Amino acid sequence: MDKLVVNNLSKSFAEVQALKAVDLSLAEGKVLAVLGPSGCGKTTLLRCIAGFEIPESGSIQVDGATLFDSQRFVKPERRKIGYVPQHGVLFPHLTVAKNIGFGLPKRTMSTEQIRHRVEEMLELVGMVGLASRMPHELSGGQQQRIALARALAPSPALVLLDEPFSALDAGLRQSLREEVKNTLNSINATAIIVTHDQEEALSMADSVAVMREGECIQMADPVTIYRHPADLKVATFVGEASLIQGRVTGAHADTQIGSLPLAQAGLFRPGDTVTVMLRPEQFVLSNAAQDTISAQVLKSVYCGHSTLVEVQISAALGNEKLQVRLHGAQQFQPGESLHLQVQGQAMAYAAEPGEK
Amino acid sequence: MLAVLLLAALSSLPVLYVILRAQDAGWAYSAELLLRPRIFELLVNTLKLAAGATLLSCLIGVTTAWLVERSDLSYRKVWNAIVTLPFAVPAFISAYSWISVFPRLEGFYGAVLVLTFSNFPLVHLPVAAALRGMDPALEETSRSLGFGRIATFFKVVLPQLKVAILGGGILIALHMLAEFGALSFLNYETFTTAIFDQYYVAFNSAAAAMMTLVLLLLCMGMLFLEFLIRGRGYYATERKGSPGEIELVALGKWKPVALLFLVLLTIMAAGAPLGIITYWLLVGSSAALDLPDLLNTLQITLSFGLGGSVLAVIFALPLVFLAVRYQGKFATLADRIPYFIHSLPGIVVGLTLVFFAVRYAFVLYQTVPLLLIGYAMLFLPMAQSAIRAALVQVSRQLEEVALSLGKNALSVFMRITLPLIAPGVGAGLALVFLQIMKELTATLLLRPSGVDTLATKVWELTDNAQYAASAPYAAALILISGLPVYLLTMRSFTRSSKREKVFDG
Ligand SMILES: Nc1ncnc2c1ncn2[C@@H]1O[C@H](COP(=O)(O)OP(=O)(O)OP(=O)(O)O)[C@@H](O)[C@H]1O
Ligand SMILES: [Mg+2]
Repeated sequence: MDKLVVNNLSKSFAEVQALKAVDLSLAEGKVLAVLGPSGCGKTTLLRCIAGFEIPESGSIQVDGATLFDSQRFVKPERRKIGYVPQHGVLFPHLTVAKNIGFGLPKRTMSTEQIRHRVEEMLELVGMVGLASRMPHELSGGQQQRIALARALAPSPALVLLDEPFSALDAGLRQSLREEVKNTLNSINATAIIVTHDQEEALSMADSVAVMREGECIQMADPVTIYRHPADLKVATFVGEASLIQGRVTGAHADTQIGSLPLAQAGLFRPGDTVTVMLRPEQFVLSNAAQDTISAQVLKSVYCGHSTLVEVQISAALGNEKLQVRLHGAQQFQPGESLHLQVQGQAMAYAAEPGEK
Repeated sequence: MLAVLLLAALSSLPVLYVILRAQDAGWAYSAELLLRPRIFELLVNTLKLAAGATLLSCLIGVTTAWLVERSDLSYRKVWNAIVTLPFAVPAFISAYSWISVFPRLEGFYGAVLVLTFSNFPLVHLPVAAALRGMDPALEETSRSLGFGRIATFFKVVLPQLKVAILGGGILIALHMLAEFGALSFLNYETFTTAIFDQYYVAFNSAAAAMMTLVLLLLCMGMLFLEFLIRGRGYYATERKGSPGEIELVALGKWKPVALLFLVLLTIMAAGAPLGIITYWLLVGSSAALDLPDLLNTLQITLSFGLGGSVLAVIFALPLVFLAVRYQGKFATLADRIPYFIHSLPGIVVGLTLVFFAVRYAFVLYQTVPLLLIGYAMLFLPMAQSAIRAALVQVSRQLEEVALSLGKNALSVFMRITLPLIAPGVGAGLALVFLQIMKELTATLLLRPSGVDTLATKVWELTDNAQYAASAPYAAALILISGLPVYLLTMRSFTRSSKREKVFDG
């Protein structure tokens, strides 16, 4: 059964409609990443689920129990939903241990049990020994981890994390990401992580929901989101994309760089004009001169593990510019000639005039 | 450097004064004076008043701050302004207005009530600011961890308010130690009023000096308390741009009670004194109003206020720069000493300056410069904190950029720094000006003979129960000191506007 079901949720502030009929569902023990540009309503969605905003319409269910619909509104303190706000604020007047133990019920737990649980949580987030520190004596990353431990300590039904890594540098981000994922997995927690970093979403989550202007555009597992984005905007938001015009012929699209197999069958009629999307890493270098695309390097951006190269395909093929991701071991100079091959299937979208 | 030394010298003067006086009177006699039962009696009185008024003020101030910041009362901005109105009425004027109508208000309870009414805004303002500045995410997190609104208030909100409440409370306690005018009307004896009596009525300087010693010790005790509180972690929370609208609590059936409370409070704290003065003003119009004298007094008061506040700001500027821009012993000293001076009651500063002027610089005795020095000394810390708040916002880099563009230090100061801290300087001037308008004790001791400010004029006339005759002076005083209060508090309120919403339940 689904842990969380959000149905047709809408919320607007004065003139902005922050959520437009959002539907979501999330299975027990899974991590959902909510991905979207700034201001698209991610925080608002979390706050509605946590009970800090009252939506105009729709319903929210956790474990089959309705937390919100047109008749019901369960107060936030009764929802048992862990919440780590966008800046992970700790209670500044309490020690780390007291922060973590804050939500543990004093009525049903002895002091000893609470102490034990706090110790357990500190271990979980890898911060043993810092129990008596005050929040202002912690680094930003440590504070984030304690905020997470505090949310997880009472074993909530669901955990909501609002951009938990936004304030951190790249290195710390990476390692904390791993830790948080492991932490969530180890207690089989169901969680929603809000982020506007596509890499974070794809690497951490079991499923990804892409939001735009208050709407949930697509919700699927990371591979589907990346390989088969619902539309061109999603495609360009979750990664780099090479776009090229084409014409549908059965299960293929004819383009200037050849006939490409399409991932979706039967969506378009033969003869339809479409925009074809390929991921840059679908291009590989080829030695053969046959059946390849010859192109000239315009510029290359070195990313360490790979090199993102912008190429212009030869005049005979129509001078199109393409993004290509090649192995980082090799360097490319502007003006250099390459031979490329395409691997895998392409996505086709109805061509909009003026769309590139 | 020079400024800090001067400051250190100024602050050691009162101690020196006590020592020299004790020496004059003979150590044995001084000790005897110090250990009288009378001193103990005064000590009990003083502490009782300080504790009573401070506690009551904290209760009222926290309640009003919460109502204004967190409840769904309508016209909360208006209420915020109204609640701070008592600031505009000097305590001694409010005391005399009550006494002129209800002479039975004399004594401990009357003193606690009247002084609470005129001092509770000192708790209201910082607490309201703290409530306003608190990150809503803190409360939300507590709710998501299973605590209702009331539990959250006590477990999360109140601890964050502690510093604001205690800070305001200590300020009020210090005011209680220093209060003179109101208490002499209310006929309640504390060290300050007793010192004044000894000095003015009994002409016993040695006894006055010994009482001053105890008063000084009390003030230092307060300061130490404040130091302890500040030392134990001053955690200011900031809103970090969380999509934070603070949740307003629906008062429901309590709304009429809350309104009644605010209305009663307003009537008692501001309405009654203002009403009574208006009454005397109307009654008094039959008694010939000495308009030229009123204008003359007004002019003297304004020029004292202007002179004193400018002097205080001139002193404050280098001190603030030293404290903010340079590290080191001197800088810390420049930062700390003002707190000590700030805790000195007007009567102590007055007596000290009189003592040294009479002894070593008789030309200064009872002159305007000495009076202005007294004002500057008393209110320097206010100017300092206002300017400081502005200066810490001016990035050092900005000045460095200007320097790198080839301007010399002076022109950088004049063209970059000064314009940027101008609001702070303005606030400092206004604050000090306001305080000088209301100042009574030091003015009584230091003014040139025959020169009256509005405050001393009111005091003299009302001391002889000439209520009607004093009313025009009192009204003028309220009008010119009420305006700065209003501006300052409204400014602090409108500085952070916020998004709000109402939750039911
Ligand atoms: N309390 C509020 N009052 C008015 N508008 C609001 C309020 N809260 C959010 N909004 C608006 O709703 C929209 C969605 O805001 P939200 O905070 O959910 O965005 P977000 O996706 O979390 O963005 P970010 O990535 O920058 O955190 C924005 O246009 C925002 O301006
Ligand atoms: Mg957000």
